[in-house]
Amino acid sequence: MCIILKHLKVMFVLAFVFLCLSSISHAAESQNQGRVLRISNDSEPVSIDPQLCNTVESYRIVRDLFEGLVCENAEGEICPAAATSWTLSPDGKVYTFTLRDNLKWSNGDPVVAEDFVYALRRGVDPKIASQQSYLLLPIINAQDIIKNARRPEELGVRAISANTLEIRVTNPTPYLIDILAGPIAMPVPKAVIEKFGKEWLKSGNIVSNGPYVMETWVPHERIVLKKSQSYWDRDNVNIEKVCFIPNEFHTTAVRQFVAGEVDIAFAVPINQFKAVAKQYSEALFTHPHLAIYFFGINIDHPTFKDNPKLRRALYYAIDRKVLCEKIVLGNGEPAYTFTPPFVKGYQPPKVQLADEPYEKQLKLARQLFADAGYSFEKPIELTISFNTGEDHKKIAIAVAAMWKKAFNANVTLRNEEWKVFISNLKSDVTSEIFRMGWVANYNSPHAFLDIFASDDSSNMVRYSDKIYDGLLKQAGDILDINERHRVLSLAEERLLYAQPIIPLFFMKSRDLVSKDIEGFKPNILNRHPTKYLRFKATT
Amino acid sequence: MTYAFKRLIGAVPLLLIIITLAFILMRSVPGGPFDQDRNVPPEIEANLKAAYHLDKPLYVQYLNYLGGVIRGDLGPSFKYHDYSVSQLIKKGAPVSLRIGGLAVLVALILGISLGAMAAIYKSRLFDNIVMGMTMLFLAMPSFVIAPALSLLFAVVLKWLPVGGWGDTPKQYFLPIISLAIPQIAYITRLVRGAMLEVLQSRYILFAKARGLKAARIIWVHAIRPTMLPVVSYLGPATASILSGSIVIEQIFSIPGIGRYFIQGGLNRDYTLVLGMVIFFGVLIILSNLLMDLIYSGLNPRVDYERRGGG
Repeated sequence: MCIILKHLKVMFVLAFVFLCLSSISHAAESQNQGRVLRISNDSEPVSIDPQLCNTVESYRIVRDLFEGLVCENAEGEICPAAATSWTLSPDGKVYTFTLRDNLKWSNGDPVVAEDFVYALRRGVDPKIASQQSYLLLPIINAQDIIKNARRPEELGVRAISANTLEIRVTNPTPYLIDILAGPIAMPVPKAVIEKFGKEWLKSGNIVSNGPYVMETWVPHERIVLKKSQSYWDRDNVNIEKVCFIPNEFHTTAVRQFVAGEVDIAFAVPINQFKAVAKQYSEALFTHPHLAIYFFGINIDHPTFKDNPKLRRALYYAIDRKVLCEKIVLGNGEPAYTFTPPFVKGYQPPKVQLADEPYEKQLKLARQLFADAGYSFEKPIELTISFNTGEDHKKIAIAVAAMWKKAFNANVTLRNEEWKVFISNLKSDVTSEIFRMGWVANYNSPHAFLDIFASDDSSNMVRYSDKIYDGLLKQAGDILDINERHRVLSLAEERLLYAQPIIPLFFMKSRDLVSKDIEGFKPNILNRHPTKYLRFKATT
Repeated sequence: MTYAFKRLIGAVPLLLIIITLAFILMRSVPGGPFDQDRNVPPEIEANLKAAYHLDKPLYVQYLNYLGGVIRGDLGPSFKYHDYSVSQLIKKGAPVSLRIGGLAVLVALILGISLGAMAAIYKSRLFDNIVMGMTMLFLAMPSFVIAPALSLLFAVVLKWLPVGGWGDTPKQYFLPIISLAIPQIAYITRLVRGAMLEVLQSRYILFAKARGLKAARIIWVHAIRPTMLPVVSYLGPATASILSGSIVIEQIFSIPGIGRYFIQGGLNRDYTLVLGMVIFFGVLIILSNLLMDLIYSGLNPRVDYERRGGG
């Protein structure tokens, strides 16, 4: 038997050695060299083409590779980038940008105004089919081009000279500058795209104008960028290399951060938040950003149709303080309006009893409930739909319990897979109440309120009010920003009175950043381009 | 060879049925590739559908897809715009095959060794421990084992990395072990049972009577018939390991193709899911064929050629 045991030992050792040897050949070739910033990105980018990308994880990479006329600084405020300055015509409809003199693509070619014209036309070109093209709708003829009724060359954009660009808009659009900081308006190299076609983004082919250039891209493994030597502000770019590691599991990302395998991990899961906050309080950054978590009400549903009192009763019966502190564990701020109060230059409407204790709100809720024709003895039946997710489930359960306590309501919870959920919302089979989140693309109340216009494709609550639409249109024609925001505030007041939505809380970012890194400043856009980050001198 | 060729020819209609079923199933699921919370305006949605030929009738889309498959073009990914499905498979398949292949190998080596030892030490402490452990690991799915191992070896002990790929050989260990553990448990039980039966057969008794050494009896005479059930199991085991890797690759952030199944399904990335179905379909058909050929090599009573294709 001793011999058998010896044989078995040999087999165990062989298995172990084989495992090691077979892996060494592949792994040794890609050992990290030098200090690389390692960022756990939420998933593989859908695209790193500025005009095609449409997810947060894509934006993170695209913002490092490309740079638009303007960009956001570390605090999330708009600042000049490829353009040094710009002017606006008195009627607010013509923007003229002056580009820097020393702009270069990473292959050494000059970046000129025509590159921006090409990119913006590409953004609305039906053949490119960008999902973000709606952002360029304020520009003259954009709508017709998207509808295939005009050619992309007819877009209201032209290069006056090599370094002067003109953009004409249909109506005054004060937030256009914010939109121009986004990927959709970033320049792309025409010659390279024409040469390589769809393959232009692959490492070896891609040419960019931002602070970083592509080094390697292995799908679902990593994207490594290195500092560009042709970027105009290269002297202020501190980090030489950045590696984006796609990771769909946020729990894995947190474990990788704890083990020191990544330097930045975004969106700590709420169920891990307490433990992380306790152990890594110095590394955890939480900050409200332009995002709201809310319940939508299908106002075409017989239960809610023509019954705003019932909708308002449900709105007031929610204890947002409990929701924020006990359910989402401090990762939200109570929301009574749809537009966050920290949107630039905007004052949301004041909501009755919003600053009063919950007991007073509950009293009003019960009164509205009775006025709506319901009673404690004849309980209402409701359904809350949500897409699969532990946090969504917890929130739905908590709200159901609050409505049960307030009205003796019988609430059914309906959990659906994401695409089924969205498909149901778009179709007529949607449930009565559904959870939803909204993250603004730019810092303006328009980014929140325009989606409730009767003809907006994102209007999933089917709210349709001519006066609301009129107020939005009226605001759109006003040049003075304060007056425009005042009218928008009136529109929001009307929206909240009709109550097709129940705002619950403004979402907060929950990011883990290594203590070796400086320059990470929480901001309401929750954007942190690598060029503002640096490793501490001691490390 | 005739048998193998016939099996391969027979696999073509099977693959066609698989593709057709997968195509129908994917299209009958609610939601589309471009559905999102931020609904795009109808004209943009129309442009998107036109760009991906989703505006054409379903049968035309099906025929176009089949035509593409015949030409070796699996279409563009609806989600990952910068890569075609073929490119994604080409980049990810070697990773998945490496992980899966090593997991099968580890499962075979450890499963056969432990199973044989358990049979030899039947009803003794070692046997009881091994059998107890195999029961436990058979009951635990990979998605439970993986995070538990990751927590223990990566976060608490810090011996191995939590996840990722391409930095260090250590990144292989946890995914391979997580994938292999349920298979080790199954193969151990399989080998133990087969070995016990073989050890009681007359030719083994005869070998003992001839005075042959125990090691020679086990590893030369007893092991070959013991392998038959293991080889039969390798086909399903390969399928099981491949489907297991779908979850494991997600948990350990491994750039294989297994995760495309999940992501493709969730994103309604029709072409990506169909590409995966074709790839895994071919792989399973080929591995089953290989196992059958090995089986006939090990067991002289099985002769596919003489039976006219079995």
